[in-house]
Amino acid sequence: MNEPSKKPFFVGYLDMPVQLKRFYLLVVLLLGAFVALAGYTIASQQKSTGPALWLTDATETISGLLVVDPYPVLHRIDPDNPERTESILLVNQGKISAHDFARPFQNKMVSITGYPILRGGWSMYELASQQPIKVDEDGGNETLKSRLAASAKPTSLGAVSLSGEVADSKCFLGVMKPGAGSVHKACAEVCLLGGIPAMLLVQGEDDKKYGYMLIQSDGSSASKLISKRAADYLKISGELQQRGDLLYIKMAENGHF
Amino acid sequence: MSHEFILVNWNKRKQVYDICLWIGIALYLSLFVLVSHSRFQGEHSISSLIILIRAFSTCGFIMLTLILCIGPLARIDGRFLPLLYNRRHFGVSFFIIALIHGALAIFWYHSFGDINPIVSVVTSGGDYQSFNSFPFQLFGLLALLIFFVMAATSHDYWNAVLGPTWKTLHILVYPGYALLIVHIGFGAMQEDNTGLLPSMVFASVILVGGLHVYSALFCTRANKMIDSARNDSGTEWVEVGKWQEIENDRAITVSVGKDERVAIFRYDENKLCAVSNVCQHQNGPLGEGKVIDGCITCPWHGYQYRPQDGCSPPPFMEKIETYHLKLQGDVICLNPQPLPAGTARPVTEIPVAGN
Ligand code: HEM
Ligand code: HEM
Ligand code: FES
Repeated sequence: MNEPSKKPFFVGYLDMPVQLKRFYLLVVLLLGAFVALAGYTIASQQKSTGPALWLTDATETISGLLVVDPYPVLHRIDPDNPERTESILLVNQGKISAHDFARPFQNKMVSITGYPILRGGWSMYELASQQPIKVDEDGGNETLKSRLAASAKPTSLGAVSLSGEVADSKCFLGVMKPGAGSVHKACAEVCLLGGIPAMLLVQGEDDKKYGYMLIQSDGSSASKLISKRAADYLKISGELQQRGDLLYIKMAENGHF
Repeated sequence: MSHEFILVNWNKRKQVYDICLWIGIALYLSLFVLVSHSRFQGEHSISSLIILIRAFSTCGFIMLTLILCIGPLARIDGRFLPLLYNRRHFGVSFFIIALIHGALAIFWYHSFGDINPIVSVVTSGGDYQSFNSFPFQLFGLLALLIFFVMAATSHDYWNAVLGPTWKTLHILVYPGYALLIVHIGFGAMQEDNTGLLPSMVFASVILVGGLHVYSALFCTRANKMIDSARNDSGTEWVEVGKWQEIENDRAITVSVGKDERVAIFRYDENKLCAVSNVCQHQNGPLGEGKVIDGCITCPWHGYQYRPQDGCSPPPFMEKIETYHLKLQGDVICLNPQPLPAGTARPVTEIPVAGN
């Protein structure tokens, strides 16, 4: 009973007893090892969101026919295959659509300067800050222009009903990785409110994801309309259309969402 | 009550503690960022800002888990007590890490649009009916606000001014922890299919919950409950136990009535005294302290009180309530009626023959 207490006691301003010092050396080492292991493991278990790029190092310039509605798109000849045309979505910087910038150049042959955003067969340009759109000097080659205009016209492919995730195209195509899914919901909502083109991501039978641009029944942008349902998994019915090489769903009046 | 405002000085031990803490934080963050960038490159990269958001968030969650473990650990094994003394530094460091996570998330996910980012946090991403689109970020924000209030009132000054309210504020750390579990469960966990995030949260809840339950059930140590109704005339004596149960220079704690706790010390081998268990500094448990240089010393920050009158030695001004004791054979009897703080009473001596 009268032996010195075995219970250690220690106050900050006193010297630490030796046995406590050893104990804390052990605690610190164990905690350090745990911290390193946790950091390594948690970082490693993240997932890649699939191959996608946002090339922000230098701007690139491309030319073609600019169509503003429902979403700003540049239609051009595919540089790798002159037989084909290619449709490139245009967006502004931040979470804002390119409508305002593009409006004055509606249906003109133009050059666009911006930063490419690439995923799968999709491409999008984020407009550069300085003079991103210029009318082509020569007014464009008329045959080329009419070929592009013809390809840009909507062709109906019949009625469809598809289920998938509502996404904002800019983030999903490569600006944010990951740029879709429920964690990204709030951001997608801000993007759609800002007019970034709305997309429906549909899981194909081959397990690949296919994207459909969503437009309202009157043919205009559906971004703001559908913003509250960003990142939700919806079944959407309407008319399937092709414009250039992009597929659109013109949502039925009471489109199920 | 003398709530004299006295700073507990920054000492070497605290510096070592803080240095270890921040080395740990730096180790975790840098490893997380390095591994993320080297594992996921080029086309498969993850956005740098998202990597940072995740590094800070998981770091914060681990820190909070550790903070919540320190209390019960210290009860289970007294060697952990020194970790408790500087828990506030741990708490404030945790708040800084969590704040960076929240600020980066608001910057990245809610800025650059047509809408005010803070408005967006509150209004966007929300459907309470839906599992998939539950507004998890709002829960993070609420938790962060709680931790902000705790960190903002963490200074000794507020501690003294707020008194018991401060203690209530501190209990809010548990609702804060619960909000975070909702934040993670309905947020990042929805996207996680490796199962690591759920395992992390599960392990944390089991650890924190388990330690709390274990320490509550098995670690009341020498504490005793005395249920006898208080007698206002102060004449009713209650038996506490044999003096041999108390180690020299140490105490046992007894609960009297609902929330009053009394620490009964034995010192100089054969002297006994009873004082309030509550330290005037930050309500530290004096009964877990020790008599050093003739003074009862608080285990938390070392405030001292004289056994004979419950006063801090000059120049300090703190005073704690004292109690009358008497011996019946080997049995200590306590008069549960507290004397005004700082009241001297005769020292109870154990007859030498009884030793
Ligand atoms: C303003 C307050 C907050 C906001 C806006 C917020 C936002 C977010 C977002 C957007 C994510 C998903 C990150 C991603 O995986 O891409 C996330 C995840 C997370 N947050 Fe918060 N958060 C807030 C507060 C907090 C606080 C206070 C903590 C406490 C440490 C916390 C802990 C976590 C954890 C552990 C995750 C999961 C990490 C992961 O994604 O792997 N959050 N938060
Ligand atoms: C920032 C100023 C802070 C100070 C001065 C401080 C100091 C203290 C002290 C002295 C105690 C023990 C007192 C008691 O149990 O009533 C305590 C308890 C605790 N602190 Fe803090 N702390 C601070 C901030 C934080 C923060 C930011 C957190 C975590 C978010 C935190 C987590 C805790 C927890 C979990 C307890 C145990 C509560 C209980 O079981 O009663 N503290 N803190
Ligand atoms: S609580 Fe700080 S010294 Fe007692």
